[in-house]
Order: sequence, then C-alpha cells, then structure tokens
Amino acid sequence: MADFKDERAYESRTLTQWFLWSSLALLVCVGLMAYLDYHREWKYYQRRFMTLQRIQDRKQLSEINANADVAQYKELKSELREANQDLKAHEDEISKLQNQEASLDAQMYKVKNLHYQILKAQISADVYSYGEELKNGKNDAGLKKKIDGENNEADALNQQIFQIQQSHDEAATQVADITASRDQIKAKLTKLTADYTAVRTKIQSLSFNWLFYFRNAMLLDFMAPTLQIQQVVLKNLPEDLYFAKTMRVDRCMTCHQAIDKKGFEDAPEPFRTHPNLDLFVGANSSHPMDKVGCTICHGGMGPAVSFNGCAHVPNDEVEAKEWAHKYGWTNPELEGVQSVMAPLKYTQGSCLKCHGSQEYVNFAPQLDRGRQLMATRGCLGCHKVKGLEGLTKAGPALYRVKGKLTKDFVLKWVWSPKSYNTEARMPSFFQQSNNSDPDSLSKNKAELNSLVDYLYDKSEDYTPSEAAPPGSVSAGKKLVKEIGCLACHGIDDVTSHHADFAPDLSAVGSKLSANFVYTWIKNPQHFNPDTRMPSLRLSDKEAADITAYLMSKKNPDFDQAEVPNFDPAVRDQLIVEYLTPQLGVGGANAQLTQMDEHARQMYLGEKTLNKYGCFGCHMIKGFETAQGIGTDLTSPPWGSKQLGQLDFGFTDPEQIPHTHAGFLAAKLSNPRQFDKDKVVAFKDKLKMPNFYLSDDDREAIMTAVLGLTDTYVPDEMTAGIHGNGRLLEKGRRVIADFNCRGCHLIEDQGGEIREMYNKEGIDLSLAPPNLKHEGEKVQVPWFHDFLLGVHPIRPWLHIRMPSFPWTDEKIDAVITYFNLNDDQVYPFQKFVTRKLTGDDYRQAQQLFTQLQCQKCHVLGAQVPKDLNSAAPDLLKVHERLKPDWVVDWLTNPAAMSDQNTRMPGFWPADEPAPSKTFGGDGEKQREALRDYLFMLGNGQQ
Amino acid sequence: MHFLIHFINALFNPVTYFFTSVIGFGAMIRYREKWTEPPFALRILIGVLAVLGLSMFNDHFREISTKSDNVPIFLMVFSVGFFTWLSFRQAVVNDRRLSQGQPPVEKETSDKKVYVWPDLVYIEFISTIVAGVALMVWSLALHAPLEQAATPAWTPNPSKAPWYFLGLQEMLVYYDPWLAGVVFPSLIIVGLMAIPYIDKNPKGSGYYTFNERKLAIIPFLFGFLILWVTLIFLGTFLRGPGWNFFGPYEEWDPHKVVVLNNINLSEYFWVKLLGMGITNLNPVVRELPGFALLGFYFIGLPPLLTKKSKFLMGLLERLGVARYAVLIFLGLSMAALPIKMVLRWAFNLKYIVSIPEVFFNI
Repeated sequence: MADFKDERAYESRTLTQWFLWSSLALLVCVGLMAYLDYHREWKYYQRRFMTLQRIQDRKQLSEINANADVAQYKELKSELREANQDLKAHEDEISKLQNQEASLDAQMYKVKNLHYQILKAQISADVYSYGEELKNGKNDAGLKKKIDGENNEADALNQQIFQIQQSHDEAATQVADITASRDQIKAKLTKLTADYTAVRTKIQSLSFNWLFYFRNAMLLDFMAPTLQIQQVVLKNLPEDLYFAKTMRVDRCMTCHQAIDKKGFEDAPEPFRTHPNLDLFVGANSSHPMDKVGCTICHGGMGPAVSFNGCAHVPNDEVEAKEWAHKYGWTNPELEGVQSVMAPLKYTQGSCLKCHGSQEYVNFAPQLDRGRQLMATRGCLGCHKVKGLEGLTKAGPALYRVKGKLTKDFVLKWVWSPKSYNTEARMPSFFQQSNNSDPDSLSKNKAELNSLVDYLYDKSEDYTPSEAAPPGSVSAGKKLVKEIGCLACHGIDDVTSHHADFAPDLSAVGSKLSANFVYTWIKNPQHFNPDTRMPSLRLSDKEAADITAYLMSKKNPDFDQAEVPNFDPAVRDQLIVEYLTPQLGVGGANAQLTQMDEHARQMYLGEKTLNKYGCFGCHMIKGFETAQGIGTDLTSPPWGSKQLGQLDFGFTDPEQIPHTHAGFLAAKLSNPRQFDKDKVVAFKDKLKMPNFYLSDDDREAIMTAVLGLTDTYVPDEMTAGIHGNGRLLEKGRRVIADFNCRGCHLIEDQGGEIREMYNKEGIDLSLAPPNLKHEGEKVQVPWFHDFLLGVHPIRPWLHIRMPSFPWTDEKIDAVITYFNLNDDQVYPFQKFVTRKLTGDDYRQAQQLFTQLQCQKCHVLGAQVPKDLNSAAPDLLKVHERLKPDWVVDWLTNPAAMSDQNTRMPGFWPADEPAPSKTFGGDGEKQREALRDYLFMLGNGQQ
Repeated sequence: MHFLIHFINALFNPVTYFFTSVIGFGAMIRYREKWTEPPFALRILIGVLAVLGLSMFNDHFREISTKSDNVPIFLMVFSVGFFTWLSFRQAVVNDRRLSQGQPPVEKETSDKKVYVWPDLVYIEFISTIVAGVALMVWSLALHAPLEQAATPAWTPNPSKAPWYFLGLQEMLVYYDPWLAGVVFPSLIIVGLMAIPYIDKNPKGSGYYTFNERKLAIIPFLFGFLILWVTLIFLGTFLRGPGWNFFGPYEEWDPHKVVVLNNINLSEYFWVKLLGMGITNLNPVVRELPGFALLGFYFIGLPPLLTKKSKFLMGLLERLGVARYAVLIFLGLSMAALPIKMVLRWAFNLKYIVSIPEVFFNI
C-alpha cells in the first residue's frame, strides 16, 4: 500500500488496533452467548439424578448378587467350559462349514443384490416405457420381447437365490447341530444373568465417562446429547391464549425426573416420586402423564425449565423464605405470570377444572369438604359458584318463624350467634372489627330490630300439633346417641363424633319449646313440608324422652343475656340515609314524617334484609328467588381474577401476603379486616359475616375457591357430563343433599358416624353399612320400596335408617345412581334362579346346615341366640338381593365389604371346599346355596 | 427524608416538569459558555449519576427504572445529553475562535483526506463490530420483557406506545387523535422536509457553530429536546396506570384518584362570562368563540407580531413572504402544543372548539 501518511486523516495502525480489540470483544461475546445458552439449571438436576439413579441401581445390583444362585452359575460355567473342550475335536469341521457359509453369503449378495434386484428395476422401467409407447399408439415389439427375456432371466435368478439360501441354511443347521449342547448352556447362562446384565448396562449408561462429556459438551450437544429437555405434548388439553388455542406442553419431568418412577419416594426434591402413582402420572393410572400432564392440575408454566420460570408457588411463608434462599425465588403471582402453580396444599382445587360438574370428586377429600362446607355454611347463599347452583339453602326456612322462636331469642341470636352456642353455624354479622364503634353498634341494633320485626310480620302462624308428655332425660340422651341423630347433628355430650351437617343441639333447650321439639322430631314435615330432616319413626315414648333430653340442654348465660334494644332516633336516621339518594335530605325527612312506627320498622327491615342478604340462606316469603348479594365466584372465576381486582385495603403485605391465597385466608378468618383504616360510609362497609372457621375448614374452602379458574378444558376431557355422567350426578346430588354419607360409606367416602363406633370400640358391622356394590347387590323393586317406606333389615340394631320425605324423582335418582355406579346397565330385570330338585336339593339343604348359617342369620321366626348382633333375615334374600351378587358375596365377603363384615368366608382361595357336597366343587356349592335361599324365600320345598 | 421524597414527587407534576424543562432549555442556551467546559460538565454528570444512584434506594423508583423496557431510555437520555454537550462544546469553541478572527477548528484538518479504501470501509467495519458487541451485551444482560398473553378482558395498564412514540401519545392527552395522531405528525415531517428550503443561511457549513445559526438551532432543539425527548422521558417514567402522573418515588397504584374536571372554551365564554345556558345553542354558534380564537391565532397574530417585532420584520425581509409565512405557520403549530398544555393546567381547558356531534374537537 502506498503511504499517503501526510494527507490521510486516519492512521492504519490505529484502525487496526481498534479492529483487534473490537474483534476480541466480539469473540468474548460470542463465547459468552454460547455459554449462557449452554449453562442451564435443568442440566444440573439431570446430572444429579443420574448419580441418584446410579446409587439406586447399584443397590439393586447388589441385591441381585445377594439373591443370585451362585452354585448354578458356577455349575453352568464349568459345563460351558467342558462343552467348549468337547467342541475342540470338531474345530476343523466347524470352520469348514463356517467358511462355506461365508462364501454362500458372498454369492447371495452377488446374485440377489447385484443381479436380481437391478434386473427387476430394469424390468419395471422397460414396462413403463412400453406402456408410454402404447399410449402414443406405437407397439414396440422389440421392447416387448426384451421384457419377456428379462422376466425369464429373473425367474432363473430367483431359482438360483433359493438354492443358495438352501445350502446356506443346511450349513448353518449342521453347525448348530454340532454346537447344540453348548448353545443350550449358553442360553441358560444368559437367562440366569439377564437381570444382572440389564442393570449393569444401565449403570454404565449412567456413568460420567468421556462419551458423556463429549456428547454433552458445549457446541457439540446439538448432535445427540444425553441431557435433554423432556416433555409431554397434550393435544386434548389445549392452552387457551384468548385469541388462539395452543397445545399444552409440560416439561416438568425435565427436572422432576423420578416423578413416574417408583423407588424415589424419599428422595430429595425435585427427584421425588409422585405420591399417588396409582391415581396420577402412572401409565396405568386414570390420569396418565402422557394424557393429562402436570400443569393442568398443578398450574404453572409448563414449557419453562427454570425454577422461577415455572412459577413455583410455596405452601407458606416458611417455604417461601427457604426457596428464596435456595433458588432465588420471587413470587410469580406478583410479577403477573399468566399461570402460577397452586400451592401444593390447595392442589385439589384443580380437580374442578375437569370434575367441576361432579357433585364430589372422591379422590380429593379436601376439595369435597370445601364444596360441602360452601353449601352447608351458606357461602353459596351470597356467592354464585358454577356447578353448585340450586342447592338447598343452608339455613332453615323462616316462613313460620313466629311459631318456632321468640323475638327475644332471634334478636339475641342474630346479634351474637356464638354466645348461644359456640358451634352455631349462623355467621356473625355484628360486633365485628369494622362495626364495633359506638355509632355502628347503635345503627346495627336499629337494623337488627327492624329486621326481626319485618320477618315476624311476614311470618305465618304455627302451633305444634302435639303437647310433649314428660320423658326421661337419660333415656333420651341414650337414644340421641344411638339411633343416628348424630350423623347430622352435633351435641356436646358426645365427644367421639361431631357432625356439622345440621345444627348443633348443645343449647337447643334455650331455643325451642318442648311442644315444638316433640312435634318436630315425630314429624318434621308438620312444621316445614320442605325440610330435609327425616323421621326416625320414633314412638311417643321415645319422642318424649328425646324431647326431655333436648330441653335439658340449655345455655343459662344466653338466657340471661340482654336483648339488644335500639334507639328510634338512630333508626330514623338510617331511614333518611336510605331515602336521601332519591329524594334528597329534605325529601327524605318529609317522607319519614309520613311513616308511622310500623311503616318505619318495615321499611328499614326490608332494606336491612336486602343489605345483608338473609335470603341467601333462609327461605323468606317474597325473597325465594332473590339473587345473592356477594361476589360471583365463577364469572370471572375467582382463582383467575387479576390481583388488581382484589382490594387489600391498607393491610400490611408482610402480614397478609397480597396474593390470591393470602387474600382468601384473610377474608375467611376476618372478613372485615380490609376495611381497616378506610374512610367508608356506614352503608358501604364490608358486610360479609364472620364464620369463625377452623383452620382445616378454612383451607378446605380455600381449596374449593382457588380451584375456580378459567383454564380451558374441552368437553371431552370433562367428567360427569358424558353418557351416564349426568344421571350419576343427579343421584350424587341427592346423596349429598340428604347427607347419606353421614352414615354410609359411598364410593369409599363418608361414613363419618363410624368414627364414633371406632372410638368407642363398637363392632363396625353394627354400624350403617358400606354401600359399595349396592347396585350390584339389591333388586330395584325392593330398593324402591325400601326408600319409599323404610322397613329395617336388621330391626334389632340401635341405629336406624331414617325415613326420608322423598318423592319418586329422588328415589329414582338414587337407585339409578347406585346401579350405574356398579355398571348395572339394565337393572330392571326379573331374576330367575334354578329350582333345585331331588338330590341337588338334599345336598343344598345339607350344605345350609353344615355351614351353620342360622347361627347368625335370622330365618323368619327362627332367630339366633344373640339377637342384638344378628345378621339379616335369609327369608328376604329372594326379594332383596341379586342372584349374581349373592354368589360373589359368598365367595369373598371380606373383600366385598372392605373387611367390614362378620360374615366368614367359607371358600378361601387355595383351600378345599368346606363341604363334600356337590363333589366338593366350591362354585357349584355356592350357586346351590344361593338357589336354596331363593327357594326358601319363595316358600318352595 | 419523607418530606424530601414528597417534595420531589410534587415537583414532578406536569406543570413544573414542563416549565422547569423550558427554563432549563433557556438556561442551556444562555449559559452555554459555562456548562460546556469539561470540568463543569463532568460535575453535572457526576451530580446526575449521584442522584440516580441515591434514587435506587427507593423501591418504587427502582422498580420502574430497572424494567427491561425502561433501561434503554436512560441510555437514550445519556446519549442525547452527551451529543448535545459535544456539539455545543465544539460550537462554543468555534464561536470563540471566530470572534477572535481565527478559523474554526475543523479548518486545521480540512486538508487531510479520508479514503474510501482503506479508511472509510475499515471504520464502517469496526463500527459494525462495535455495534454488534453492544447489542449482544445488551441482549445478554437484559432479558426481553415478555408479558402475559393478550386478553381482551384485561388490557395492560398503563397501555404505552413504543418509546419513540411516547411524545405523540403525550400529545393525545391534550388533542384529539385526528390532530395529535395525524395532523401534527404530518406537520412534523413536512416541516423537517421544508427546512432546507426555508433556511437560506449559508454559514455553519462544515463546522460547528451556534452564534451563526441561532435561528435554526434554537427552534430545532426546542422541538427535539422539549417536545420530543423530555416527553418520551415523561411518558416512560412519570406516566403510570390510568395514564396518571406519578412522581419518581411514588408507587404506581392503579387505583390512584385525581381531580380532572375540564371545561370547554364555549362553556367559559357563554356560561361563565355571559351567564347564558348553552344546551340549546346551535353547535356552530356555540363554538364561535373557539373558531374566532383559532382564526386570530393563525391569521391575525402573525401580522401583528411581525409589525411589533423588529427581529421578525428583518426576518421577513430576509426570507421573503412565502418562506416567512411557512416558517411562522410551522412555528405557531409547534407552539400550539405547549400553549394547549398550559391552558389545560392553568384553566382546566378541555377544548377550544368542541363539536362532539361530528367528532370535531380542537
């Protein structure tokens, strides 16, 4: 380059230096880029898991070694050595044959691959050309001839191939014949060491050898890395991105490597096995990983592969601190991440996404409990929840409240329900954190008084139909405990079980009159035709005893408590406040002066009723279909609401985390606390009442509410709406509504009263039965009659099946449910059994005697010695039970009843039949016994 | 401390913010000899960095200023500051030399040559590499701010335009879309295109100078720095949820409530001044005062100003009527924005002309 140094503005040297340094910087950047792309969190976890897996495999290997049949192994080894020795004599012959095989292989290649296949291709091409010529109207005879020749040649080659193959096979067979004994030993040896070899190979593949480092090296790992992102793509559960739906992709197993592998139950996270592989994740479970994935239940960002990216959410503050320290965790909810994980303790809420149309989910007890509480505690009275519409209201109907309660009681009760009974389910509206100042207290008292006046004004008159005769308190106490009241009601005298489906009875004497109680328990429908309270078919004496007992349950403190009185001036002030928005202050005052005392009470009473939404839980005349006053929890779904839509007020984020769970926990423990320090008018104050929930109940409700999300689930993945699903749910609704599960185990859930039997050591076979297989078990006509008019199967038991005031619709729903649940598709058949005759009949009779059925079972008028723990009447078998079920039951009663029966299994598997009748054939015996029982009932001999 | 934070927050309300920047702009022009001195400029830089550093201790400030979206705005502010300083520095030095009868600095190297090969190509190549490095470092250090999937049920709040359009978005607060989104941007482009035809001043070619090109530099910098860059800064850091104004140390609370009761000029005129009702007035009659005011501003004002001002008179003579008229029109249009801002702040003025019946509002 010519040197123009003097006239150039820039020096080449300087520019080159610039170039040098900037290029080096670029190189560093490229390196950094590659490294940052290469260096990923998940690789660390996969490497750690390899170690973990290796340790486990080593353990397995040593176990295999310990259990190995060393003697056999050694024997086989020496046999093999001997066999090899023997073969030495044939060495020449073998090698000759093997050489022959090799040369035949070469021939085969030449003939088949080189000649024959190329010739075939040539024929195809010629046939094509010939056809093309024909299309152009030219018949090329020469070509036709060529094709024929080629075909002949191909046939000849084919023949040759066959011959070569034959000689090859011959040689191979000869070799195999010579080495047969050795090969056999070898095969045995391989089989013996198969497990060992497999694990061994696996361990080798898990070791960090040079190949591992090579395949996973930076910039080389695009070829065939062993560390890879793993994922499932869920076509049936698309993700709704509002304007488009995309396939859901879950990559959780990239780090949670052992989620579907047994044996890592105690491993540290993220390597722990899923706690319930039978139900989730496992290939044979009902929610397999490749169909359901992870995020549909757990939430979070499926495609992310870093701890923070996945939007993990901790259970509590302690875990949050731990995560922040360990993983640099930050709260994804506060960062507006689209789908954050549900804290593990609320995961059951996610079941609602697919099972929301179902009455209960069964495998999600916490969620089921939460949904039940929402119904029984009255959450649904104010808050709409999809799937839980149209349920019976939580509180009693107030149509006839005048005839049931005194005004003073109602005033004191609503003013402070807990002072009447700490187990009261009525929530507390008054004396809460935002209305305990003197001004609010006096206004609340005015509201309450006018409300009660209003309700009494609307109420019909009612007089109990019967007067309670005197009874025995102790006998009543025993009855209440034994006959089944406690399946729904709680009472403080019994501590072994406390149901909360119906009101607690611990202070009922302070509430009701004896005549009312007596009439009510004898015939609940007399007071309220729509009540769910069933009749327990009490005799007059029993009813009198129970009445005496219940009336003795009083709360003296409450009886003496002051009735909350009100100041009319305050009431008038409230009326003016209500009227002002429409009429202005002047107009409102003018309107007030036109109202008399009664009109004022009625006006404020109605306003108060609407303000607090009493009709959400109670049936009140004129308000039966009034809309609940609370926030709709499903549109928009509460769990997917934006955080900005939740008003945390001036609460401290340190004490109440500003998250969904934080809000809900705070709201449910003290609903009014978000009013703290706020400037807010009396009528605009928060009014959700305080339910004083236990921690467990609160978490259950939280599970049910947090589970209400807008996650899109297509219909085909939704449970409870297909085929028989709706029919099943109809039955389940009745079962839930009437608390059948208070006594019975249904679908393996419920049966709460059994807790009392358990704690008090009473035989569970005397408790209400498990209704598993009920559809398989009983005949439909019998079931229908039974539910319509209960006639006890074991009248000698203390506990009673109640008589429910059910219509055919409800009965049908229940019967259909039980039958469908047991796959009894057409249950209305007539069951015909064999009529035993002659020798068969004699043998069956003999069997019946041999097995001593009557030792426990009643047979018509013949009763066993201990009637109190007797088994059902066998004369009723033919009308009650389905024949197939009887045989199943006889085969294995323990399994059929989940170990809850005293019926012995006479035909244990692997043991001889208990009798020599029917040639000792157990199956024949059981069928004969069944037929015999059916004949007995039909009066046949 | 608490007081100071509140004071600064209060200081950053739109009115003081705007007036301070205008005053600052004036000071920048007036005291250019002083602040272009490197030691002084260094002190300003250190001061700014110190304030920025201290501000990082404030949670709200840190949250907003360290968002991946916002960091580049700081880069922009500093680079604009640096290049403004650099050009002024060179201009000041040259002006000093020119006043002493010396040639500008650029004259000293003007006999040297820059060859396309190797010099220009080499420099361009190096620049490409340096820019590549800068972009790489940026993208490695700051992750792209991905937000959640768009949902019609929940739009982002605040909804901001891309940073380079924030000045336009700020205009939308004061003018209707057809003006702020169509007419004004078109005028900006047309105005920029018109510059070479209006500017007849031959001086300042090939060297930096301020004194010889005051008329070109001051309006340009006013438009660029005050009406563009500071509005971007304002739109980025001071406009929060609900498009409300937030001080630099204030929490971006979406529930912030501010009093915004704006009144139209017609209401001022008919109701307040004359005590008449306007509900039944013909819209055109109702808006007559507004039309009159606009007519005066664009047609009546220029001759009046020109007659009164010696400087403008001279300008008219130098440029000729056509050039002069275009210049004045563009200048008045540019001034319309700050004037409307001031009217809004001072008198809660909503529209000068408001005919919502045909969506015509000025």
